[in-house]
Amino acid sequence: MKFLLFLIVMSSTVLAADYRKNEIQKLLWGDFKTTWLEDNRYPTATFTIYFANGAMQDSIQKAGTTQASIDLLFAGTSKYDQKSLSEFFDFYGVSFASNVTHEYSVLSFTALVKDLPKVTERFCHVIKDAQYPRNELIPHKKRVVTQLRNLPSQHSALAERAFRSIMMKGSSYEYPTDGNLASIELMQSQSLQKKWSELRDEAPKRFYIKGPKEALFVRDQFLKDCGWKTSSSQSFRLKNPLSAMSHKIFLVPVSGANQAQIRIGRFISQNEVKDPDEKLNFTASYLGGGFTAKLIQEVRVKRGLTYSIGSYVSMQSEYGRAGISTFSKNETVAETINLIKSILKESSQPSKIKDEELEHMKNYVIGHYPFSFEASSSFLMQLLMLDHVNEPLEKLYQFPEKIKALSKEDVADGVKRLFNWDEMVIVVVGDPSLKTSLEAIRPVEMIKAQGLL
Amino acid sequence: MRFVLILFSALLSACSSGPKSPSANLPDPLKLDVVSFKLENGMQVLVIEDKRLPIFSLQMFYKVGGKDERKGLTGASHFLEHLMFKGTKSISSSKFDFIVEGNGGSSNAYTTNDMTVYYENMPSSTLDMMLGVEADRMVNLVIKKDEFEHERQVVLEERKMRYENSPRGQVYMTMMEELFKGTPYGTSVIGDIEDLKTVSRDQIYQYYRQWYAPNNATMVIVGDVSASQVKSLVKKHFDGLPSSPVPEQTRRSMPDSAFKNNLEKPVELNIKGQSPSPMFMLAYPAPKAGAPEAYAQDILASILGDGKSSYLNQKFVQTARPKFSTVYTGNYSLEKAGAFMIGGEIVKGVAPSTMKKELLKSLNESCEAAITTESLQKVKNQYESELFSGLDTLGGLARFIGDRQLLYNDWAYYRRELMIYDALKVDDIKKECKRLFSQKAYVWVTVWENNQAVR
Repeated sequence: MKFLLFLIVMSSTVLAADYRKNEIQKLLWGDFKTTWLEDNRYPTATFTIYFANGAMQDSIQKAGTTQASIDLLFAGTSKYDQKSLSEFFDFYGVSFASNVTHEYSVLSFTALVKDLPKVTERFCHVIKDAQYPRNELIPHKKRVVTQLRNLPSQHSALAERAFRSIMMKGSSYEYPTDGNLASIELMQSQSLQKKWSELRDEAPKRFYIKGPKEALFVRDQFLKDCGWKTSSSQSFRLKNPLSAMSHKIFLVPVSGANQAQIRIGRFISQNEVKDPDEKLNFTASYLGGGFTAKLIQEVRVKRGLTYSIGSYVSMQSEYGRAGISTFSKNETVAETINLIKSILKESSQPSKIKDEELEHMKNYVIGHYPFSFEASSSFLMQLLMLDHVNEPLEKLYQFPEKIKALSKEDVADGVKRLFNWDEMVIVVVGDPSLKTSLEAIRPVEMIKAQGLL
Repeated sequence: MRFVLILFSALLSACSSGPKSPSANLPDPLKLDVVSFKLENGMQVLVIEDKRLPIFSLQMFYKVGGKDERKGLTGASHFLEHLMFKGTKSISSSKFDFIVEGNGGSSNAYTTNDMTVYYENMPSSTLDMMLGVEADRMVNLVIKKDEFEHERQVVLEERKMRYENSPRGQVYMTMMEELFKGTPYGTSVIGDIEDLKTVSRDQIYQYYRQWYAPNNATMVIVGDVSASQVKSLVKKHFDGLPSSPVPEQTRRSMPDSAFKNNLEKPVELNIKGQSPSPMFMLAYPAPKAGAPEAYAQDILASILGDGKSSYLNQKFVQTARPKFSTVYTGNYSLEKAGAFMIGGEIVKGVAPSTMKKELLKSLNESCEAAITTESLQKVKNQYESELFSGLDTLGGLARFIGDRQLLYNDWAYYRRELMIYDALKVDDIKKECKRLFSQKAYVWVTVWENNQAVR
């Protein structure tokens, strides 16, 4: 207990602070809601376009179309080919980023402020005139297919893909946002162009900007030259996954692996999304956030069964996932899964959660909270996510108070509801010989890696 | 006022601001206001005040890494890094993390060939406490037998995750071992399996006693602190700690010539691995960090492999018939030597042996075909833009100046680096390109499920 002497009483100012609130400005650019996060430290600016349209709008046969329509945006226009476009943007040191989820898509570019007029002009030209030329699409497919076929050698990435696919089976979220071998082979220039038109001209959108005030001078150019439009509202066709997936262990065999990836978790349905985020997030932190959380202390520190273990609750607007991610050597895979099971069972009982554990984790989560405002880029993404789930800015600043109010009963209830063992889908990626030891836990179904690609 | 004057005078007796950074008078696009001072026991401290949020990042750089290990002790620096989170004489077993996280912070560490770095991201109210904890574990580490054995298993699992089950990791580790064979850089940072299985607690503890001392450490603090407060608290916690003769003795006994590459002819290793597509790496011996040629090679690497428009990307990836699904280049400048690397993934149906020949030919041609006024200016523009992207966090800034202090003994060395890059001309890059690719010695490594050799 000596260490407790080091604890410093959490300052009340931590709970009340409005970190960087005065740097946020809500603007209206044309018809589009725009958020500007002022950051005067460096002469660079980031422009992010949020589209309320994501991979869920792709049919299963066209899985990956939204992602490819953004990835290949700069593959050529009627005026410039791929090479001259990449020469141009690389010359000005412009970096691009994209993120396509099932519910929404994001495209960003970062450039030096002094170059913004030239960069915006060419960027907007591409936005209006992207052609997805066939001579670029064919080699793109070849590269993507090669990378996808190589996925079985990246065990962690394969485990993520398998976990998502198996856990989401039967739902609107089953297929990965970047598509699969079959859908990529079928991809055509016309479908990409159609998808991009939908994003550019129909999807509801918002803009998020980070940088100094001078960056805003390109406002009119950004609106006029890009010609952004909106004519539809977001709509989902939701289907929940099959519930039968939690009665087995799914083993994806990788011959010769001397370590196995383990994923345990479940889909969170639309109704549960309304549960307070603070409670869900804190539950995940209690179990597997940081080096002092329950799982890492028991699995790594006390027993040396793994190098890393973590848990998460990941929410979008209409659905979410709760999961535990780890790995262990072949000899201790079953032991690790059984240990996780017992930790989850224990943590679902308020009487098994100690007062000092709860207070310790509250201190960690609340005390560390200012760091989520530190990097402008990630702070901006938080603001974007708040808008996506239709929550007010104030939610960010109320978080510490809400964490402070949580009880042992809240945490135990969170564990019980999110990580109920009987509802957990278990996926293991590892040597096929693991089947025997895993069968002592649940019946094992072998899923070939090739079928997941 | 009297109290303040006394305190000031006491500080002066214990720490000096030392010689000014050699690059401190050069133009600074970042406009960093760094306070630098050194304790009498040799510990260097750098501070940047940034009061935007009530937090700070503390980074402790120890100048010990893979290159300081000998046969039988490979992986010792990294293993010790894990054990530094256990306990000390005053912090009970495995409670380091509880202190950090219980106070709202986070911490972690990493080990390279040249250094071991510990970092804590903390609320600003914890500065005094964290300095005390860092000072404590610099000299009072306790390694218990059961904790040592558990951590041995953890390190072995990390090794499997990063290298044994990762073709990319396997390619990189093999390349480093072959390129630097017979030099202190020729051992893997994570360690050989046999060494990790047999190294004893006493050996690691001895290693700790030799290398962890204030004269082998640089501390960087960036955030909501005042430099004067940091000076006072650093003196309070670190001033009495003893220095160690080992780092200096070792460095004297290991001249730069010990790092000279022994490669005389091409080495080719095609290893059977789990990768359905061949992963490859081609590497050449390169100059150490800070050598004039290293800057030309940085730019060369960027011209060849940075961005979609780069030479190798256009030739082998963004083409009608791609040979690689990905390609990347890097000039890895270590303290005493370097590696110029080209790596990637070969598409299905293309033989690695054919690609090796084609790549070697293209690299030779690139000296005339790829290096132009436009491609050079493009890279300079990219560097200007990228300079800011890594500095969005306090930790990023702390690492940026800490790396330079350790490698060049000059935290402001980036100012000189920017001037050197700016002054380089097309002919300089061409000259370095020709010298680099005319070397007869290189290492070619592939990992592929169709290869036969097992390593």
